Amino acid sequence: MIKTTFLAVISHWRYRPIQLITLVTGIALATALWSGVQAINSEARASYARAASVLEQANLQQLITGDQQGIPVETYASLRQAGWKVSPVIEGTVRLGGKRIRLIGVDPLTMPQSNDAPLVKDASDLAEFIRAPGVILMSAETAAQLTDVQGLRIKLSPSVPEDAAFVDISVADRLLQRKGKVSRFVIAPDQSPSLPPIGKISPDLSIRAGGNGTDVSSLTDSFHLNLTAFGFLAFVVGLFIAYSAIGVTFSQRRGTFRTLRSLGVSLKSLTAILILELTVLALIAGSIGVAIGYVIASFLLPGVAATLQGLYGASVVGTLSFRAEWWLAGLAMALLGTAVASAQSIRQLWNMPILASAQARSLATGAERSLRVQAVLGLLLLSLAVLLTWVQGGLVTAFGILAALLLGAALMLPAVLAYTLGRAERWARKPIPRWFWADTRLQLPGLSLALMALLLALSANIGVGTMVSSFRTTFIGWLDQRLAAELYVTARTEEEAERLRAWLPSRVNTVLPIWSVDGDVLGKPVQIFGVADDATYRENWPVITGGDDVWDKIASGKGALVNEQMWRREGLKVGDRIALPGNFSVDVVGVYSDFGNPVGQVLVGLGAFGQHYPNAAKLRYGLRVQTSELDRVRSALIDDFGLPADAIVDQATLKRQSRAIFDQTFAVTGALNALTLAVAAFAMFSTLLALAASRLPQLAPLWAMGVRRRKLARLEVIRSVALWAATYFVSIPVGLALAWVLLAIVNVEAFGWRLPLMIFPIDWIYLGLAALGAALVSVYYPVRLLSKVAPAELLKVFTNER
Amino acid sequence: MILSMSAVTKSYQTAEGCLSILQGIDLDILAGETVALTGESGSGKSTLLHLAGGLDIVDTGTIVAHGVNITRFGEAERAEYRRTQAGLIFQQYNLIPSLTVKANLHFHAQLADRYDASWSDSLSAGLGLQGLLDRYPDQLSGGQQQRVAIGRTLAARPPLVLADEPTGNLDEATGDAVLEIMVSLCKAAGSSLLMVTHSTRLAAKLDRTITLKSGRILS
Ligand SMILES: Nc1ncnc2c1ncn2[C@@H]1O[C@H](COP(=O)(O)OP(=O)(O)O)[C@@H](O)[C@H]1O
Ligand SMILES: [Mg+2]
Repeated sequence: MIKTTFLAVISHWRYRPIQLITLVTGIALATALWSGVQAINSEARASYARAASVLEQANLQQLITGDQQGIPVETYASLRQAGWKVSPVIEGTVRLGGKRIRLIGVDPLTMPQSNDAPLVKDASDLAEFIRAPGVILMSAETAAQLTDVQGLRIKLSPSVPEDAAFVDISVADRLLQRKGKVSRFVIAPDQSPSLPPIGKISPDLSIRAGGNGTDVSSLTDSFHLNLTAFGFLAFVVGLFIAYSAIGVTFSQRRGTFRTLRSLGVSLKSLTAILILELTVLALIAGSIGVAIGYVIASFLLPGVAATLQGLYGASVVGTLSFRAEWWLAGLAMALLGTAVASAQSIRQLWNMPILASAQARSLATGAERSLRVQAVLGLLLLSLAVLLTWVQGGLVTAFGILAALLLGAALMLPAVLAYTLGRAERWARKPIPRWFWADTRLQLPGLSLALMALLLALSANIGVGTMVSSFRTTFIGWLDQRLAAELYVTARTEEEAERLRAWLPSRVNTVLPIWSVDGDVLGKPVQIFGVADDATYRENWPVITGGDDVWDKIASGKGALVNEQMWRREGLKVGDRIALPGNFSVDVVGVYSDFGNPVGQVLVGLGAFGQHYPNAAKLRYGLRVQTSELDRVRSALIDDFGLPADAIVDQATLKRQSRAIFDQTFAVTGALNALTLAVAAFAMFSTLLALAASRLPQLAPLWAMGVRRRKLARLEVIRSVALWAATYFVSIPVGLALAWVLLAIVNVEAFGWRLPLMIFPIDWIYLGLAALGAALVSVYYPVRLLSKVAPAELLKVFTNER
Repeated sequence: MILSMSAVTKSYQTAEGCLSILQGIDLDILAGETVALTGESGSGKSTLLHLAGGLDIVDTGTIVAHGVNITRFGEAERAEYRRTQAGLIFQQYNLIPSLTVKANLHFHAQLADRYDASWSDSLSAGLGLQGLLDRYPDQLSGGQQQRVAIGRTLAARPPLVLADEPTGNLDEATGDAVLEIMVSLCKAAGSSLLMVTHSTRLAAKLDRTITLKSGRILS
């Protein structure tokens, strides 16, 4: 019996293949975008975790110093004497055979064993590692790119990230010329109790907590959260399609369900059969979706990798590996989505009487009431969004605002449209227009889900587009300010830098040293720069807050400028005193914007910088040169001075590179945006197609009263376009609100910058044209069906055996 | 002469081949006349009505309405004909669900540019619809809906009213009452009526009865 019933139930799809396609496509698209984004996220996360745990032993506590020169060997001795079990690490970047790699020198004897450390497994490994000439441990990918390893024996290990290598600490000391200075210590997890505090042994050292990984992960988290939010939005839009498709197929099969039940199929077994049917469909569609998601992810991953590298310096392998967990997660998501999308239809089935009631449900009252409920819910959500903007609650609150805003607006949309249509109906005098408005209002409940999906997609487009354009405009303006010098040169050694300092002044207008040290300020790593007292900075530097005398105070050595992200993160105020490494205290005198930088920055006067950090590398310089002189100076630097060409970068190239990184970043967002819009257009198409079948009985009476088919078809087109247009106009304020939340709340929480909201109406026009095109495409086929419908089909509506 | 059909044939193309439904119909209806059309189920009564109403096209033969040959009409002219010359009333009422009773009542008349407030008011009074004007069709009973459908057609004052089993969905008492009103209002409007019905009892209330059988009209 079950089999017979099942066959009867699924025979429906043979008559309605388009609906089957719609349903499968809806679930597949929802799953595809979601799992595509998840694939990217899990790949990137896996990359960071691997890099952090392998390279930095990040799960362990570390001893670090603010001193650029490193930690003297004597400190190591006193730490061991005091009973601290620590292992020294010497690390840095080195050029090996034309390629820069990160070299990590470890002491295999004292390094705490961990699961991630790929170093040595047994005594023979150990002997080989230490014995001259020594081993260099790296991945096969890195090894393939190296031409020279200074006589070291290459050993391959797949767990070492790209562009990095492990060597014995003595080898690292030699290659990096550290003269015994240690970069950091790894603290073994099994310390004996009652040890003297670190500060007693060496006041320069501080402990960095282990476990939570590096700053990269917390910074990139926000980027992934953004991606996830997008993936989720697309998932919801895809669910709308599935929801409406399931609703249509259930209502069309009502007759069949009634017949089956009157033939003695119990409600329970009918429900079980339908759930079985939906599960099979969800699994098929989910598999298709995961496969599409994989394709999407492999297209987007290189862009994401470039973004993460450019924005955060986080390295992600640009290729996708197959992970069983997201395949399963994708299927689970498809099942969950189908369950959500079908819950209401199943519930209605339970409430359906066996005998068809003579009267159909009351259209006027039922639909109106649910509209009102939705509108009230939407209004509540919008109020919640407004309320939440007063709460300072980090990124989660920020995304809560976004969700409440979008969902609230979507729920309000049908009520707003119904109200507008009601007005139009009252104002219409002629019978056809009046019918047109009233009939459109009657269609609203059927169309509202597709319209909500459209609203979400359009608002996301406007919101994210506005954010990106605002960001881009600000960023380019900022680049112009930041990159004021025409040429940037980097000396290879301190000796060469000294020669450069002597050689340059007679040949260029101004030499601006770019000297910096890394150190901890307020417990977090920051970069400290020394800046010359020069008009270049006074005229160009992108200072956001600070008085007129900022640069005088900097020049005096008592003041410091901090970048915006450090200012917001630490809650600094102008006038605050901060302690820099090396017993150097300065007053914060102003703030400047510093986009795309994950770490804090402090700018101090060059004189004071030189006094406090005499050992800082003095390799980089910005040069002010007349534009006409640019080529001459560059060739003189190469030919006369002998600097390699790649040590000289001009402003234009730097700007181009920065802009390229920027555009890469948002290419991913743009692609997701376009995909979401495409999904929404498909939702509209499938809804119109489903409705087209039920339109015939509604249109036939008009035809019988002498309204031509062509006119009816034209009115159908106008209706769809009008609804799209109305949704589009609603999406503009919603999109702007979204952009504001992104710029003023999400960005500040995620990146530490606040950007001004700039409006680009021309983009709206493009989007509007794209939406119009999509509207016409989505309405074309259903209306063609209608306008070509044979009079016989229309007549059937009137014949008695209907 | 309001309607004159001569030698009209009509057949349908089906899977089993050509199905001949009407095989030479000759029929004249005078102005103001009310005619009942009876016949077995499937004999082609609805088909005949659709041809007379300009909803469908004859295979051969001619239909002349008001002195004009409508068989040569194109799509646009047939639409105009339905709008102004022939009013159709169906068994399933076919009201427009999105419009109120009042808007439904005025709809056809406004389309035909024949809206007349006092005639409409007397129609809704005659049909007993005054209390229902602001309701929507799905808030009415079957008999009420059919009265609205009749009112909608008669408000447009078409010279010819074509009704296809208008009371088929109603119980006998309601059906009789509705029919009574329809015939008297047709007379008041000066419209001719061609009504399909199964019931000889109802047919007897009209001026004359014709019967379809084997694709022809029995004399
Ligand atoms: N579009 C069509 N295609 C094929 N056959 C049709 C079509 N419309 C009606 N018929 C057939 O024509 C015959 C007459 O139909 P109809 O005029 O509706 O009969 P009645 O109204 O007298 O019951 C029936 O056998 C019906 O099945
Ligand atoms: Mg019939």
